[in-house]
Amino acid sequence: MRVSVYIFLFGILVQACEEVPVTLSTNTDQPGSGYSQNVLIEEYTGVRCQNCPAGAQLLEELKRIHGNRLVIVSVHGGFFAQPTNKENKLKLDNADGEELIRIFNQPQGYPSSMINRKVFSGQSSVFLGGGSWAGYVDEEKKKIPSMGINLEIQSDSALKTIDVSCELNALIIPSSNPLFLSVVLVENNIRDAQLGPAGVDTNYIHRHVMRKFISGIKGLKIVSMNLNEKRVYNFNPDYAQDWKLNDLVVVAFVHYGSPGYEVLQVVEKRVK
Amino acid sequence: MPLRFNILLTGLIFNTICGFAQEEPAGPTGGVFNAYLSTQASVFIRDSTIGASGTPQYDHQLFGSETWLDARYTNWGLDFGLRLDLYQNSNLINPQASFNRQGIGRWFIKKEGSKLGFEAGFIYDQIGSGIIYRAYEQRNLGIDNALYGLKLRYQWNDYWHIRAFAGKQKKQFEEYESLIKGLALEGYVHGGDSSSWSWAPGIGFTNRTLDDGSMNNLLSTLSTYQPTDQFLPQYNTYAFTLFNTIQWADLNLYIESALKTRDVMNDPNGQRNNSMGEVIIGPKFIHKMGQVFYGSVNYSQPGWGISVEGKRTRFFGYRTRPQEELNNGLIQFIPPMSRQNSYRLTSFYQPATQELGEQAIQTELQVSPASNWNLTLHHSRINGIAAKKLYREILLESTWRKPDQFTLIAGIQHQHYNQQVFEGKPLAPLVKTWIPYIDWTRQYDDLHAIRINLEYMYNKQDMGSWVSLLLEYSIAPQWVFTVSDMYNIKPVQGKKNNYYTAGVVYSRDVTRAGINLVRQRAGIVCTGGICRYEPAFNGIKFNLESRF
Repeated sequence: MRVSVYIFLFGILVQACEEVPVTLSTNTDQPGSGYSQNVLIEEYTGVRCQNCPAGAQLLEELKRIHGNRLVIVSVHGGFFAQPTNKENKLKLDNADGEELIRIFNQPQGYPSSMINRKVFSGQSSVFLGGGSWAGYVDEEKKKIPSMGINLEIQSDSALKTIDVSCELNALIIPSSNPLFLSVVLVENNIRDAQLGPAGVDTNYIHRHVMRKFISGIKGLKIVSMNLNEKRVYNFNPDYAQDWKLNDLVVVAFVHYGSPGYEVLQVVEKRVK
Repeated sequence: MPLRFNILLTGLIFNTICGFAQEEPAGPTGGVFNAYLSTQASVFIRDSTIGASGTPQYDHQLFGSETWLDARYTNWGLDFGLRLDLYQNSNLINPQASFNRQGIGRWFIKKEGSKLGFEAGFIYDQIGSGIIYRAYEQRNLGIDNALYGLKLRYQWNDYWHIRAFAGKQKKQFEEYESLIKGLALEGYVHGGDSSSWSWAPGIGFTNRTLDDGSMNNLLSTLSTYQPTDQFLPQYNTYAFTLFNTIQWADLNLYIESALKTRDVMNDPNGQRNNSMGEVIIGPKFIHKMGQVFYGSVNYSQPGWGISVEGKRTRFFGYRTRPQEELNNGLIQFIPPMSRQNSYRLTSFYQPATQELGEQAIQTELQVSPASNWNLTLHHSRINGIAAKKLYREILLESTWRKPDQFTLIAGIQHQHYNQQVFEGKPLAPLVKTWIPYIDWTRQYDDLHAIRINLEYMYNKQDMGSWVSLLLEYSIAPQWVFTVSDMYNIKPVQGKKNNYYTAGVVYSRDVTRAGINLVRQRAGIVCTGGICRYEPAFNGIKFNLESRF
């Protein structure tokens, strides 16, 4: 009798432990409004980081899923970027990358990424390992956009200059905290050596490489805006001789200031 | 946190004093207060030749410190604890960054000694050997995973007690959102006063419920996987353990078997296909049941003793949320299977516990051929999944003591160390070392002693061969002067460097202070199988410990 009571209680316990199954998220873009909420992912990487090619693959997979709504900037810097492999012919790290490290510190491991420069609930660091990227990108994408950005770009390959016109549109009443506009030049398809699991790959194709913050690393302060007000900022940067115009991309994002620099909106556009 | 802490503390003190303090009268002379202060401060001096550069501490902060002030007060049958933690430009939490926070790192109120006891606040505890649950602090590794919650303990009789706890895991000055609950029943049975046997059985259970944020993040990640790699995770994970300590005459046996229901773990070297059909090698979530079997046997007789430990681990990564990496969010502690060596070169390569798969055994035999002579023979053997060779160690050590004159320790250690697995370095060859060492302490009188430690590492892989020398002069009980140097006598790559220290430690009563000039290589530091990357250091370190 007693045994059957125990079996009955155990059966109830087992039943009680059953959960309603969860369902996997689907990638749904918000229809309707003219602007969508995009997400900036700034990946910290280096040519001596053997796990970074896998991180880059992961980012490309996310890019395929989210398209223009995910903007990737790969920052070469820190202890995995210098010294380079002896096979490296180019210098992918730069002073702006070092400055970013000074502002945000260096992640504990590479590859790590900042997603909208946000410290998410339950996280104590702005840096996230690859296992978390997809989830937080999805979470950020679901927000209602507070700012719209339109980019117009013209280039002069003879003078090695680019004209960038960045139109901002305040979609909701901006908070009293000052906002900043950062504009970055990013280059794709750079062939140079990269350490990977199988050794140094001398023909590795680096993508989304941060070349230059043309607005300054902390951004240009935006004069306070009213609801639905539009404002245009122009930039006229030059670019280095060895940067290929066809592979250059302009990334523009609006963010708060120090100490968090959290990103509100981002867009990207190819120079050509 | 301070406001929340004040409200909680006031409420808990009021309630507990009303509810529990009636059982025991207040001490006639008031309570007992004691405190423990521990501080470590560093001056960072940039030295790019050893990699001591490129972090905020070397670039512009120049000074960093960590301080813990642990205060306790006992009265009315209650224990109160409060710990102030201060991190200033600290690289303890993240070796590459700077952490600046200060505040209440721990508080608790504890009641013991009656049938029903409790502990509220930040609680340290473990079930069995910690396989399904261990909340502990390991400051040198930056680990403090106390449970912020409540624990109840009921003592049935002198031999059996049960305890239950629930809360959230601490993360520096915040808490994770996932919930952790647990239950443990432990007992003690013996054969009577004249009997030579005893049995201490125990059973434990823990449950972790994922928070919505972690689950949504996980689902979003899994939705990017190809259908063949996708799975549906659960909010709840349950872990069970059964453990026993059996003492019979000179034999001591400990056995523990733990099981974990299907849980999501992060395989850092996982393989999956992306939508283009390419293979991605990197972090991948997997969904598996976990198990650990662990046992140890100790037997000793006059003149000799032997201990054997064995462990088999399969998919037992148990964290407060599966997205956590490195030493963050650990719920479990899986005992290590290698010797805890203390000398600089014999502890150069230490194996980290592999939570996804490990099969290990270690044996240590101790023999005393004469009253002042001890011999130790140690062997460790650790394999990974599919019998992959991870670690081997053989150590032979002889200790010869002549009381009031000298102690001479001489030994040799041979290791095989899988750097690919333990340090995540693809293509790195198996490191094979031979390390002869000698440690000689000459005591001149009751006050003065000199210690010399000399080690040599023969190694053709990784960082090559090393030599280490340490000289220590002590004037008991107050002064210890130390100079030491580690030198990569035959590097495989990079340049030869001296890694020296020179310092003095002063002790008086309950206070110990030390100052050291340090030039230290970057490396992996392990304690109890849990490892952390320790960056290169160049500068001055100051330590102070005191009790009040």
